[in-house]
Amino acid sequence: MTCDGKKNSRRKAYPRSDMSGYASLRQYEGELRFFDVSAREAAALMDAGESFALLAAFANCPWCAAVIPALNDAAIEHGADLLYLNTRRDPAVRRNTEIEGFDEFYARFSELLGADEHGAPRFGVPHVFFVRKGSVVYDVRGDPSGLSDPREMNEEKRLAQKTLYGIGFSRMKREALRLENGLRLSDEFLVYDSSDGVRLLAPTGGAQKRFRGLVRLNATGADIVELLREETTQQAIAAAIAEEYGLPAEQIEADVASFFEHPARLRCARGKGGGKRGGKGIGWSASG
Amino acid sequence: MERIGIKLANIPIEAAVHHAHTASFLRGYACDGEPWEKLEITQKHIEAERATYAEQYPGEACAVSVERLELLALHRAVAEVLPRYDAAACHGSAFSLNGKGVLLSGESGAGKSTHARMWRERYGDEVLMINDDKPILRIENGEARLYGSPWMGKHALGTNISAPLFALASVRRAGENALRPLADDELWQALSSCIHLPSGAAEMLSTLRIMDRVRSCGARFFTLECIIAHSAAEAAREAFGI
Repeated sequence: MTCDGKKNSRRKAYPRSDMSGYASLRQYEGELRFFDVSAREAAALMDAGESFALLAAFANCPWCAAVIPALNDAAIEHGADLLYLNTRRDPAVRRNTEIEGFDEFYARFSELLGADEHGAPRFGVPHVFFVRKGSVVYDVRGDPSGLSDPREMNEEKRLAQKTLYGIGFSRMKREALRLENGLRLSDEFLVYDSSDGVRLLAPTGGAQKRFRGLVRLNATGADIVELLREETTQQAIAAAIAEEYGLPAEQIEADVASFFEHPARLRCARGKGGGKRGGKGIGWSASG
Repeated sequence: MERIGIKLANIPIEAAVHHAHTASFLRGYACDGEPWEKLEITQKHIEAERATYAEQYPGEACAVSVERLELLALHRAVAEVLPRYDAAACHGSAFSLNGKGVLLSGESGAGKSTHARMWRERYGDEVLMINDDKPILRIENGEARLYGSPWMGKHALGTNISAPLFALASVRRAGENALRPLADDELWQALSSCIHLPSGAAEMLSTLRIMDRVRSCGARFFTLECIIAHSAAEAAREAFGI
């Protein structure tokens, strides 16, 4: 299997990983998506401009074990594989920074791995890197769900982990996240379903440069029901939505100005070809 | 550069800062021990804060001191990591009335600090200020708790204490006192207006979960239109049921 899940005779096949050491996988029923890679090979893939997802971990690390099932679930959902850098493959290694090829690896990932107060390289695990064409587009260090103790793992945490790993796979493949009704969003928008049935849309990362605040969606996610933060301007909303749908901002601004009052209802048409308007709402087409 | 250990909402953090003023500012929250987070405020952070300040207060960016910018940058860095530990930085005025925590939220200039002052003047020693500007909210053992922080606003009102969240009121100045419980669909608005939204996806998810748990923690939520008078505090206290 190649590193991005595609069969390509020009690329090296990576051996399927032996994950039997992970206690958390003993009752796991899905197909495991891990393939062994060395630190040097990972560095070489970066240099070659490849796209891949890389997990650095080892079996006796309880935090690594805690995140592995959700990471594999996310990989299955996105049709992707993971390269697995087992930092204890060599039994003589006692620290992650002692693995063979660490210097080459660190040279390419140093900004994410960091250094201690003495300037010595750090290499904590678990750490998942999502690389697109030789650049890290997303990374998750440790447990992304806020688990304070691996023994506290529960279904809610696992789903949170899977969601966040899914963001990484989406960015790696440059796919839009899909809600169940087919509304397309970029990977910089997080969707959260609250315990009282409210669906919230929150921009993260680069999306916050244009759109800072929360938006409440209706139950199916098709309608933007309400803007929850005053500091987001209509223009910012219009620009963010225009970018999401690949349409000129001017086309959206006028619609937003006409229809956006607090609270207001903006209707997003799904996959219906450019700029079609329907009824009282605004019609936008999903691009691509 | 100086490295200072502080504890915010029971979360030990190490802050690496450049200015002696910052070290002095953090004194009331100093702690020893292994930090869970290490934050370093660099010149890059300070310049980013200056740019943000310039957007919010056009024309004033040159007048703000680097010491103040470092404090703002440190608060921002803290606010970004708190969600990793089920905590969130808030904007509001928080106090404890006989051990029960009250958080007043609202836009800048809405009257949060003024209303908190009415409570202090009317109820004296029953009221203890937790923080008049940037308290911290943390979910611990299923309970939402308000904590103080060094960022206490222009009057430096606050104490390094905590109290369980009993009531949250979204405050607005008005011609007369009027309170009503927040409707369910207004509650997300109230929470999102006073809780810091981080930029990291994992931290954002954690923050949304915090807001969800605050919503269901048993606290009481109100919208409060009030005048600047002790009667406003009296009406609020009666409505809160404290």
